[in-house]
Amino acid sequence: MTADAFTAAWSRPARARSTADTFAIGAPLALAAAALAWRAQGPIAAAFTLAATLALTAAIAAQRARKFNSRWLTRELDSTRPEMEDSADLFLADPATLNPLQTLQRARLQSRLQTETATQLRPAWTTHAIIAAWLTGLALTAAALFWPGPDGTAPFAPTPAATTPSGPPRLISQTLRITPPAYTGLQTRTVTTSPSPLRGGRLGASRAGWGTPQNPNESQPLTASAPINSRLTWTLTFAPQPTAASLTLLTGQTIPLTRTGTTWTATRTLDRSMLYRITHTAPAFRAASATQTPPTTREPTVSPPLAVTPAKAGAHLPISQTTTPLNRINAIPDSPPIIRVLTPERTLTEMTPSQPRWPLTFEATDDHAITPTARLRIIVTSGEGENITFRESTAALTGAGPPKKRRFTANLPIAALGLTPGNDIVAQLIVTDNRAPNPQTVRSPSLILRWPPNLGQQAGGLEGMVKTVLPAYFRSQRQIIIDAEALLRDKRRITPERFAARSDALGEDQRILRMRYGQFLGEESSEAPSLPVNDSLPTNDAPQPADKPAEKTEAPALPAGHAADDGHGHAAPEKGFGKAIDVLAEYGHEHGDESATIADPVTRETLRQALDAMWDSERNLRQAAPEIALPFAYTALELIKKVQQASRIYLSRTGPELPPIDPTRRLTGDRRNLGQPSLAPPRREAGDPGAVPAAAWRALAGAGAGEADLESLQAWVANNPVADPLAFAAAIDAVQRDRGCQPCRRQLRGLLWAAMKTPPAQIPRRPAADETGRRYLDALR
Amino acid sequence: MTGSSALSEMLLPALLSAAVLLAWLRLALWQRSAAPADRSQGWRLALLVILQPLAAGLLYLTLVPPPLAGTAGTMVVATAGAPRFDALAAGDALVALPETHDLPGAVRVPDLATALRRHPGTSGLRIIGHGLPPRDRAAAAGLPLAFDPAPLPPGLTALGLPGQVAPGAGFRIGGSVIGTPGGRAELLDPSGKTVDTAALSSSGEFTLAGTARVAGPADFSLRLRDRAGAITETHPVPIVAAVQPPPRMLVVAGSAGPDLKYLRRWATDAGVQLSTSIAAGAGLDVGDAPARLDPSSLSRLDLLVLDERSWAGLGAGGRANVISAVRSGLGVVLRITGPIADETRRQWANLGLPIGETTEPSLRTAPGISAKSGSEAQTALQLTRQSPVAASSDTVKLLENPANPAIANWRSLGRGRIGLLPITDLYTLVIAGQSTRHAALWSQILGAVARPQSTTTPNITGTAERLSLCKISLPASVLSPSGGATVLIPEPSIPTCAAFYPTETGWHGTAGTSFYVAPNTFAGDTQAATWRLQTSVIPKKNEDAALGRGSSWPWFIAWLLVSATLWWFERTRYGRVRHLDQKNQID
Repeated sequence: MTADAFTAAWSRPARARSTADTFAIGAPLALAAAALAWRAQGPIAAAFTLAATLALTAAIAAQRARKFNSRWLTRELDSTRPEMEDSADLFLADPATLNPLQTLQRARLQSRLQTETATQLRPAWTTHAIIAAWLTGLALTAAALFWPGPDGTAPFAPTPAATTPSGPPRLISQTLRITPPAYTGLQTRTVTTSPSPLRGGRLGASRAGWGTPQNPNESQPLTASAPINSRLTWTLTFAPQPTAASLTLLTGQTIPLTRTGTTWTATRTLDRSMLYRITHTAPAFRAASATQTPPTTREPTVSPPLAVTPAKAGAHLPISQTTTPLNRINAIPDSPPIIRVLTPERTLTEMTPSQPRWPLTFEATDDHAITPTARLRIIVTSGEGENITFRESTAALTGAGPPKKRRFTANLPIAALGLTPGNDIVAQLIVTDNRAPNPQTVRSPSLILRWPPNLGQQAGGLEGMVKTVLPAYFRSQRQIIIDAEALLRDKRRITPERFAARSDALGEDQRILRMRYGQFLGEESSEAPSLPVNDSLPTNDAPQPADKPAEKTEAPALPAGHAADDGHGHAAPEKGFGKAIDVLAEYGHEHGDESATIADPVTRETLRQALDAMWDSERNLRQAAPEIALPFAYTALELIKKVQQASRIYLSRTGPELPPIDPTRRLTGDRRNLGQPSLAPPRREAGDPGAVPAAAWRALAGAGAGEADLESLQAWVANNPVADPLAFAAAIDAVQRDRGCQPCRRQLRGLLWAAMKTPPAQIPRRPAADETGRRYLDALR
Repeated sequence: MTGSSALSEMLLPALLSAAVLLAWLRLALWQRSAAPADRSQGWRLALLVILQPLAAGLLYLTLVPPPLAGTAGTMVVATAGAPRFDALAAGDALVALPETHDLPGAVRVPDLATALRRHPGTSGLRIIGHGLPPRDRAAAAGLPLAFDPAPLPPGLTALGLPGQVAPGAGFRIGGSVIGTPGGRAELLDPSGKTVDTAALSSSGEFTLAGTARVAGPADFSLRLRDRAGAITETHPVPIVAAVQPPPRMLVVAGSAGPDLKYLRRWATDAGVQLSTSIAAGAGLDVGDAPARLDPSSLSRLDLLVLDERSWAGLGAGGRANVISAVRSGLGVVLRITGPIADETRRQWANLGLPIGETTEPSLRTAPGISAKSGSEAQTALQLTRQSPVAASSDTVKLLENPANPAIANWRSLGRGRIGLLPITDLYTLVIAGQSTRHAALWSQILGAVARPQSTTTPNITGTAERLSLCKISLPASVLSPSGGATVLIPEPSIPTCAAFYPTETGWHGTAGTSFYVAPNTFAGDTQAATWRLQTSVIPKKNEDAALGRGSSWPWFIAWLLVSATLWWFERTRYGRVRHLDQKNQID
């Protein structure tokens, strides 16, 4: 065995132990350094740091192992083994150079060493250093990994929320896709709400002042506006998945949600503004472990609506005791177009002499679009005095400009339209918007071009005597006859419907005329003769309503001989003691006194015949038979002329019926039987209509001071006109859900304030002075 | 005690002066009676003459030591907003209240009372900064106060709120703003609607008007805008409307008219216990039972509304009854509906409300509850004024607006008040659809003069730190906005009062009333309160003197030394030796 081999064999365990010891110390420190580098710079830096520190450890280990050489071995053997007799260096010497004695000694030592093992020479573990290094390293690593950074998060912080969700289903996100109707041309848009960030707890609501309601564990309510008839598509995600979910409208309707994978969807067309809440049922196993749910999350099932005066207005605003907030979608109705006349500036234009054309400019605006073509209705009058006829024609105009604001221009040739002096051209623009399926049609004010009547032919100096002609508000009997004959002439050229309509219009004129003459005979009519100056005349300036549905009211059945408008009430007569004398009221009723007519009997008879003829004429005109009506009309005209020539008619005046003055007592100072008439104004009816909102207003001021009666308030809102019932419903619901929510209470109080009327101002009472003050005031003389 | 101390103050110098005079007399007698050899020389005599009053003076100072020089300085109290460097006089102590920033050289104290205990000889206070907070005002009371106010911080510095408001009646708030020239102030009602807006005056003041509605607390708010229109500040304006006890009112009119009709309509709606008597001529009265104006029925009334004809028809006895009823609290309003007799004019001038010369009826812009807003200005009505109300120094103006200095006025007469209303067509407001304004005007006019009512509503004063609630029936508890209840403990000395230390801001409720705890106090209010404190102080010298006397011992020792010197000098022969020497020389 050579010396080198001997050294290597005997120092190998020591070297191994030393290296292991170094790595035992260095490894945790290297790990900590790598963790710090990872935290500071990232994984690549960590890898480099780990490699570098391990290399450094290896270098140190190599350095430390180098000292276990032959000299260490001889010194170790000599110092620890007495049997070596300080001769261990003989193992390292070259055997050839040894003298026999040395050789002998070496052999002796070798034989002694046979029983020894090299492992006994290795150094002990440096236990303290290793423990310290591991503790330090682990502490540094843990700090590097778990110490929260400036943003409050740590890369390996325990994230309990990130684990699989448990508890009742919670709304994770709500996405509403609004697809407006195609005609609006609006883009489809998406409204999304996400859950509000988790907070440590409720904000200090009392101190928070004017903030918005905050509720952790709950997504923000969704508020959106969409054009009416938009298509709404909800996409909701829950965690964990509920077994069923739906949208519950405040009207009680539900829209079921269908599940597709992890999302729940529903679709609906928006027909009116709505409030809804999201309801879902929890998986069945949750009910078993409901006791483990924290108190902030209640079972989100909808309780049945409160029984709020079901008789009153259908109780459209039920409140549910759920924790989910109300979401609101406002329906924006399509507004009808608005027409503005740019030229002429006034509706009535006088034609200037030698004016060839009449320029017209209209501007129509709409919230979405105006159809590019519009109709211009042109009416040209002709004739004079009572004999005026109308010619109606329609021209199509094409608008210019963007769809929302189109400009329509026309330049009417006056001569071509056949205008004569003293007559008018009436023009009216009719535009429609592009609403589908029912376009809205709007008419502009009528514009009149008047060719002034030729008054120059009157002799000079007579201007003051020229009477201004009042417009005839109803046709005369003569006019009816003329028009009926004209209608008969036109019968072949026009459609039967048109013929019937014109005949009916003449019948209406006949009715007005009959009622007018009927007044002289004391006929009663609660309705004044409706003057034909309303919508049917082309000179009406007001824009026509878009599409007004015809309203027909059913008149109650009346006894024979009575009409709904015969001028007296038909209420059932009051019965009771002392009323039996009122026989007339029970078995009949008065038709006023007959003194309304003071015409002589002959005239009255003539007038009655005229009215009978008018009746017949009107009946036949209404039945589209003007040829049968014409003889009656002629009869009526003849009779009327006879009456006019016969006598004058006086009408009685009506006025207050004062008690007769007793002339014997007048100015004598006799005050017998004079009462003290009380003029106290009547008290307002008992029961303050504002009592309910006022009580709620007071109760909502403080948190604990008396709970507001929200059910009465709800009934009040349902029965009283308020500006925004949906906002009221949402505010009441918010307070109902969380009685302590100060911002919710403040919002409801704001709505109440706007809905309440100002009561009559009371007289403020000044406080009485104290004893000193009274003495002071008494001393002031 | 003060009497005896004043006596001793007078007596002691007199006694000492007499003793000095006696001693001088004795000296003179000695000098005269002594043998020429024993006579003092001039300088010795002068020394003796001087030493006598010196000893007397020192004895006086021993008995009544002068105020201590070291503690006689003023204490400089730094309050919120105190400037960092302030010139201190020698002997002044600088203390800083908790609201101050860091002040070099100042001793921080928790409150003023603590500072006064630590500096017992303080003879006066000098306040720097915005002023003393409410906590320290009681401690400063009685001390001479000098106040160097610091410039107020920009923003709202003061806000004046009405007390209790009658339901449906108008109210006004005022305030002042610093640092926003050309800005505007807006009053918002609880629904967030702007009800009044006013431009800030050149000194930053504004007045806004609103109308209360139903009884209960209402959260109005005040919004300030700068010149550009941007919102700079928003402050809560808590208004409490409380149901008022309905007054008993009698209207006696010389003739009927539309104004009376609408007055009665409003009064009936507002719950006033109204009775009316309108003369219809020929001795006929229209209305309720004929008015009886004897002392007993007048004492049951709170308000009496007359016109010049019914006043003249009262007769001398009736007028005396009315005036004596006014002196015991009744409120009387005289409506002027036409020309006034000279006698009536003289009678009312004697009462202190002179009526101006009758002129042609003139038109006045109707005073509005909020006449400044644009819509109101458009609908401002012209009212007919029959007779001008003469200005007088001891009358109070009613129905003021910028266009008219005063339309009506009132003054107090004994415990009651009398008022003049020369307007006959307030009813046009109702016809013009402004019945709310009509009611508010009548409420303002009649409320100013109505018989005072000893209220039972609690009197709540104080700030967000400490509130004192008086006139409440204890035991009671205060409910805070968050629902917590605090039981009030009656104050031992005043059993109907209690203190409450709020922990929250917002509406609190107790004993049927609500009160609002505002989050902050305004620097301008603090300053004004400190000014008031300064002007209200009446220095009390004696107590200060007793407080600040120094020790008697140094004066006693000095007196002893002087007395001993005097005693020795009187007995020594020094100063007389010269005669002996001369005599010896002669001899």
